[in-house]
Parts: sequence; C-alpha cells; structure tokens
Amino acid sequence: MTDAAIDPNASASADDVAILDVRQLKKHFAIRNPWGWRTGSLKALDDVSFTVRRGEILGIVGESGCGKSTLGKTLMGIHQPTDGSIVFEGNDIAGLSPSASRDLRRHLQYSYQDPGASLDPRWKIRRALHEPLVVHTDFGYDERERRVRDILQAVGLPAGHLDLYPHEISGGQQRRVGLARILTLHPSLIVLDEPTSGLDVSVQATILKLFLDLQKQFNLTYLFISHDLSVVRMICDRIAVMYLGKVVEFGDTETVFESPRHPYTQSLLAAIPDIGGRRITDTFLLEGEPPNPGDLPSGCRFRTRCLMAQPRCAESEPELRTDWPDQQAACFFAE
Amino acid sequence: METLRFVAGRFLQDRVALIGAVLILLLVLAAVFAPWLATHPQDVSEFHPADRLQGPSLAHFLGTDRMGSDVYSRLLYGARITITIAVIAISVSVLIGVPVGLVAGYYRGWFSELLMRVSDIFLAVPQIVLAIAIAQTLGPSIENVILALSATYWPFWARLVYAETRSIQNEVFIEASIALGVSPLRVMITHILPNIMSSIIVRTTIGMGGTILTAAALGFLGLGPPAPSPEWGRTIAESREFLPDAWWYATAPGLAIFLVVMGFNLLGDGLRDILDPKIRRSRTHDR
Repeated sequence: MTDAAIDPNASASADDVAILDVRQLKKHFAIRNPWGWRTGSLKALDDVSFTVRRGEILGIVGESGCGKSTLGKTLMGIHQPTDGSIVFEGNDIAGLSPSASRDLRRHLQYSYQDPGASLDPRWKIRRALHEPLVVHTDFGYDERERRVRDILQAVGLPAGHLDLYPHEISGGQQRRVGLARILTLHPSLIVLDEPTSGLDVSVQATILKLFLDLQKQFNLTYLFISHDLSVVRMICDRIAVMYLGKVVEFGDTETVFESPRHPYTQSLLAAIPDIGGRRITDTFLLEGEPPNPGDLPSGCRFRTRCLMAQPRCAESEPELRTDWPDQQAACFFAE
Repeated sequence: METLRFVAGRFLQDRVALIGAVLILLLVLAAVFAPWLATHPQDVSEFHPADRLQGPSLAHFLGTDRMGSDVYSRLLYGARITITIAVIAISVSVLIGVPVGLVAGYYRGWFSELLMRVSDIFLAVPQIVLAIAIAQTLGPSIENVILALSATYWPFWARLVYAETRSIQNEVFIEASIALGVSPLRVMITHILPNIMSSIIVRTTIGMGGTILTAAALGFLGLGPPAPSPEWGRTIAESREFLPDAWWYATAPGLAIFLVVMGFNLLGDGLRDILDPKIRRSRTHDR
C-alpha cells in the first residue's frame, strides 16, 4: 500500500482538473407519521451538481438547514444518496458505505465541526491517530508511529500529547488532533465542516493559517462548508451558495462577492456586518424564515421570500444559468 | 490505569458498596474453602438420624437438620451450588444478550426488529413462570436450572445494550470512525462496547442477585438439584414443617440468601454511582 496508487494513464487530463464531480445528487429523508407511514419527503439535497478542481478551496455557504452538512455527509457515505453520482478520483462512490469502499475513499476525508467530539473519550491520542492507519494500511506499529509523529509535528503538536486523553487538551489542540487523524492517510480532498465555528477570532486565524500551510505541504483540496461569509471570502477560490438543498449560485469567490446575481445571494451578502467598508447592496434584506423543507413551494423555492418574485417563479423551477463568465445563478430574472 | 485507580479510590469511600463487596467476598470464600471450613464435610451426603433436629451447639454451629446432618457444613457447600448456578447462568445471558443488543442497536432494519421483538416476547412472560415451565419440562437438576435462568435472563442484557448502543450512536466519535472507514464489527467492539461497559457491569452485578433469588425459588419449588443436595432453596423447603421449633434450620439458608442478594444489590448500586461519569463529576465537585 503506497500513496502513489493513482494510475499514471488515468490521471492525464480530466482527472487533473476535477478531483470530485457531483452530478444531480439527491438526498431525500422520509417524513413518517406516528404509524410509520411515509407521508412525504424532506428534500435535503435536490439535484446538486458541482465540480471540485484539484488544489482549490471550494466554499459551500448558506443558512443553517440548507443542506450543507447533509451534502458533506452524503459525500462521505454516512448518508445514502437517494439518486445521483459522486465521482471521486475517477470512481463513482455514491451509495457505497465507507467501510465497503475503503480503498476508493481513502483519500477523501471529513473533518468534523467539533473535532473534540470526534475523538473517543476513552482512547489516548496515540490510539486515535493510529486507528486510520490500522484500518487502511498493513503498516507495523513502528511504521505507523513514525507517520503519526510526522503528522503531529506538521499540525504543530508536541509528541508528548500522544499519551494524553482528549479531555486533557484544549479545544484548539483537539482540532489539530482531529486534523492529524485524517492527515495520516495522506488524503487528497478534505471536507471541512464548519471548521472555524466555536473558536474565538485569534484561534480562528491560527487554524485558517494551518489549513493553508497544510494545503501547500500535502497538496490538499478542500471543500469548505461554512456559514461564515467573511472567512469564506478570505480563504475560498470558488463558492457554491445553497438554499434549501439546491445550489442557487456558483462561481469565483470574488466575482460572486462583487456582483452577486441571485437575489438570495444578494440578501445573504447584505447581511454581513461590514466594518468600514461599503455594503454590497442595501436593497435586499432577507425576510422571515425559510419555508418548511418538507413542504417546498412550487417552482422556485426562494420565491416566498424573494422581492423580485413574479407569477412565472411559481410555475417552473429555474435552472443554473451560465450567462456570466465564471458565474452561474438559478434565477429567471437575475441580471 | 488512571481510571482504575480513580474507581478504586471512590470505591473505598463508598461504604455501601464496600459492605456489598465484603458480603460477596464472604460468599466466594465460603464456596472456595468449604471443605476446610466445614466441620462435618461428609454430611452433604451422610445422615445421622439419631442426631436429627438438634439446636446450635459447639459440635453443630447451626444445629442439625431432619436427617441429622450439620446445617453449617451443608450451608457452605450450598454456596458452591449457588455460585455455580449464578456465574454460569449470568455468563451465558451476557454472552447472548450483549451481542444481540449490539447488532440490533447498530443496524437498522427488519433483522434488528426481529431480534428485539423476540427478546420482548421473553420479557413479556413473568420470568419465574417461564423458568418454572422450563425446569418443570426438563426435570430437576442443576443443569436445567442454569438453562432455565439463562433462557429467561438474556433479554435484559439485550435490551440494555440495545438502548445504550442506540444512544451512543449519536455521538460524533462513532460517526467519525464510520466515516474513516472503520468496519462495523470494529466500531462495535473497539468503540461502542468499551463506552457502554460500565452499564453492563452494573446490570450484571445486580443481575447476579436476581439470579440467585430465582435459583433459590426454583430450588424451593423442588425444581432445583434433587435431594440430598444442600442447595439453599431446597433446604428452606425441607425445613418448613419443622418451624418454628427448629428455627435454625430455616434461618441459616434464608439469611444466607438474603445477605448474598443484598450484597450484589448494594455493590451494583455503588458501582452505578462510581462508574457513571456524570454522577462522578458532580460528586467530585461536592467534595
């Protein structure tokens, strides 16, 4: 088992660009009445399609409950997708459980929002860091220990921490251990789920810098799931804006932040508290709560909160329009 | 190791649990050293009709029974039967119940439902009635008592482990291991089982008391090992007709059962307090 597992012929052109290709991904949860009968479905992901390029940081943003985390967990195989394909490094992994597709998923890893909670409270750090290597490789103890120590150094933790329990180290250190645990497998794509939430600003900056350093050191690609728009703007190359399980706008980060096309993106960006700078737009403010995702409005799912809504919006659902360079938006009237 | 020392420290401070542990220790010592402690070891099978129903004396610490055998000696040998029945029956119950609960709790689907409905059926019938039915059908013997108790006790562990597994599955570290590609069997054995072990230990300790009580009840009803076995339940049944005159005859095994069952219950309650991390934390703050 080595890391140079990629077939040199297959990695020619397309693979170099797209490391992950998600097509029409759907995840519907059944809504059941008290007797267990299916009365409807909650469309947590509805026809989500996007491509992640090797080496980039793709941001996924949206309000809580828009399906960001479901997307990450469906990619990881924790949730079974209802439909659609997930092509990672040339293999379709949609619907395969993590342990069944162990070799295919080895280079696709997931970093939890609360890395402290992702560590078994009864396991010392050493055992937690050895576990991925025990599962994925046939390295002996010494080989594993060597790699674990290398990674630990890369995330900036002393080797002495190996003999501690998770509750004996700080939250920031737990985050580093969580990262180290994934990095032991030398992944190529890491899904970062809300990696900065719950940290104070100074620690946030340190962790973000760590992400960028590790990206260079290990040639990583990140899928950066976050609701913190200022962090996303700082770190991401491209972003996808999600609303109720659907990507409504997609494009280069700067382009989207400078000239958002979709009314939802415009309202979202207007909501950033911006110190000193000009507000991107003052004309749109988000009103009310998003509709019940188990009972979506007809046509465009944003129309109930949209100031630009027209009768046409209730009749049919807008697809992502590619009318702009480096940017797509799913709205009939976006300019 | 650290945890072990902590538990041991708390244990010594918990008087109630300590009393329970001492009672259980006495039972074990009595069973192991019965041949040396007994004053009339041959009385397990020998009768001396001339000495029947004598009160406690220096020759017979706890008097003699209807056959003239030494009650004290028979009590010690009875402890062996009690421990054998309880340990084997509980081990079998744990070995069946824990894997059933783990699998049913980990997976979701018709197989999990089937496993839990089967254990529900066992739980729905009063345990002593089911045990009587099994022991009655198969005939009175130690083996059949063990079989009857095992068959009726495993669902308690299945239920417990099922519930604990379901609740711990919502913990992020379990999902994180699954996402990492750890196989289901490995997740169950290396992550779930160690984290629910304290509940299993507590349930098993308290279960020992219950099993001993049920075993004695079966013996009392004549469904345990046949005469002249010194089994405690059977001894109490035999002594009934000589009450209240030969009070020592019934009191000795009765008190033994009472103390042993209480010992396991006290130890179980104490362990529950010591091993439960939430209670542990609040207690530490109290100090």
